[in-house]
Amino acid sequence: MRRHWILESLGGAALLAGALALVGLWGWQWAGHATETKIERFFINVILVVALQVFSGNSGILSFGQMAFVGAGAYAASILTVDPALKPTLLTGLPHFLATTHVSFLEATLVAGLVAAAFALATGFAVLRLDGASAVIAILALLLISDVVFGAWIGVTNGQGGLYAIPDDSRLHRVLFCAIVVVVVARLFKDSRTGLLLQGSREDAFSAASIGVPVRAYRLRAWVLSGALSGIAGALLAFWLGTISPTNFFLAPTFAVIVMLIVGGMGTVSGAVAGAALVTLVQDVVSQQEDRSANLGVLTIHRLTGLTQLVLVGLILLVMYVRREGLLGRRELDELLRRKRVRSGAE
Amino acid sequence: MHELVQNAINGASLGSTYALLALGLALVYSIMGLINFAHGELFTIGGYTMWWTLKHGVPWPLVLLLVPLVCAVAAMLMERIAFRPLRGAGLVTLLITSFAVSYFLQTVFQIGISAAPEGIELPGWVNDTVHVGSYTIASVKLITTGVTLVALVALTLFLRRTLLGVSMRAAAEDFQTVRLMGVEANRVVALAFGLSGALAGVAALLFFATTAAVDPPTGTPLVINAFIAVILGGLGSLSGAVLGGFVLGFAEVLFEARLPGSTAQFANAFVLLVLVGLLLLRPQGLFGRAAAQSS
Repeated sequence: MRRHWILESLGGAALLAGALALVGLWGWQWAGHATETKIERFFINVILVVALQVFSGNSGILSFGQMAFVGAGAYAASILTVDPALKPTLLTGLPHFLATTHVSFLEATLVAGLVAAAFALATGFAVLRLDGASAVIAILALLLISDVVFGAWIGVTNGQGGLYAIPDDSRLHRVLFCAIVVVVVARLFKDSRTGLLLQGSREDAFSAASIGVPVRAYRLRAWVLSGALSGIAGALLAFWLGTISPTNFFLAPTFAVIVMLIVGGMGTVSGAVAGAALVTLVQDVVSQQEDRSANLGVLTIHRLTGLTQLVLVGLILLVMYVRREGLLGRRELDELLRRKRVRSGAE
Repeated sequence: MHELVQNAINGASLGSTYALLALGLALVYSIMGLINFAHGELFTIGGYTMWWTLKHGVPWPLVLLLVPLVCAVAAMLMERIAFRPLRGAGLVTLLITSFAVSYFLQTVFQIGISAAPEGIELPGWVNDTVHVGSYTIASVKLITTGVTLVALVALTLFLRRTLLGVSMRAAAEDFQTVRLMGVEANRVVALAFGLSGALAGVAALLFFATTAAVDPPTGTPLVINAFIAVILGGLGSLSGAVLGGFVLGFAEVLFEARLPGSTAQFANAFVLLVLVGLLLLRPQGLFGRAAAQSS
């Protein structure tokens, strides 16, 4: 079976890619502008969640630090693409070569991935020396550190004031293309030797280590790959938002992405995509209700602010209490379909 | 020398807050294996209790009693409602649940109270200063450190001298065995949460007596710092958590005082960076026992 793993993985990824492409096609051909923007956001969410799945799904260590890499990528891409005429007033602390450059969408996105990967490599050596709860907390510390830096490094990030006038470059076809690439990469990584052994260590780190799996080194690989993909997601997010500030990369988005991953199922790429789809949809439906007012008989609430957060909390608690492995459980979509076919063929 | 003493006092005061929070976190972690994100919201609840009671003219000695009490009850409710159904679940499940609880409570504060900071009307004596020789010391900082020490001594006595305390320490070592020996699990866990809540309440009293404003996300950065203190002290070690808290407090004050000009805003980042670096050298923490490691 291992001989054809690449073909099988690509087949599974193609299934997801096809589904994403259909959504993209619909958005491009038939949906209005507002819906198209929402679909762009959905693809960015897919990239974010799949990037998190690459590390957390395979290693079993839930990372609360992903937004540090997303932020690094977003700021890197923004600094490279903001109108150079604005830079002297907006960003006073930039070194000369950055203050004058202006690069294309593709270059900026790739640089964002590289910057985030380098950041991940540098931090991975430290935080991945720890295990279990200590690792989780050290990764969380990373998020806090990056938040302080984004907020305080005013010459480069404009701090809490935010970076604005970022070109609106996250077009539908571009984000769709990136989402498909990320899904394929994540699936190939998951089914690769490194991915499989890492999943083994997720189930039992001691046994994996005892048969010679270099658990730390493999975790680091997943960490850096996840960081690179997160950086790309950050660049796309910055182009989509047009304005970024530190809150875009702190706890609220961290929570949203984790909800998507957990609801869909952390163990599979299909789960990550499904979670992104479901939660994005729910968020959209609920946030439209937020502007309305609720009449609860005696009590009238005029704006239901916070309703989205409450629904997200409800969703995640439901999954935790009822179906801990997420919607899709442990099997990829193609594996589920194949199993069904085998079973019906045997009858 | 003068500056050093002032810094030491500030460090002890900030370290007290961290130590109390870290101790509560360590108590719950060692018994349930839960990294309780929502601990920060217990702290925030303490802040809001102070705000509400002082605004409505409750005399402050009563407030001092009420705040830890409210936090303890809130912690026990949290355990009963959110965590008891998940007893025995893995690290990740508990982690996600506590993150969700924390997020839920912050949203409730936002909707129910306000997203903007609420000013706490502190009694006037909070701003008093004491003169010792050439030093001017805010009396609240002395009280803070004093109260923390008293709370720690009381907790130590409780844990060492009473049957319930001993069974809690035993549960922290090996929960299964303790259950087999006939200690009722629910009681020990509820008590651990109650204690951790009360400690968060005391921490809130001390913290908000100097900060005087509370908003929904107040607790989050503090509790993340307290987490760092816990792993710095060695996960599972209660005395380690307290020492880790003080180390963190002193380090932060030192960095804030010594970093030149505009870089002072980065103090918290530097502190965390140094501490994570320390963990690189000693993954088991400064005071923890060397645990088995995967390669």
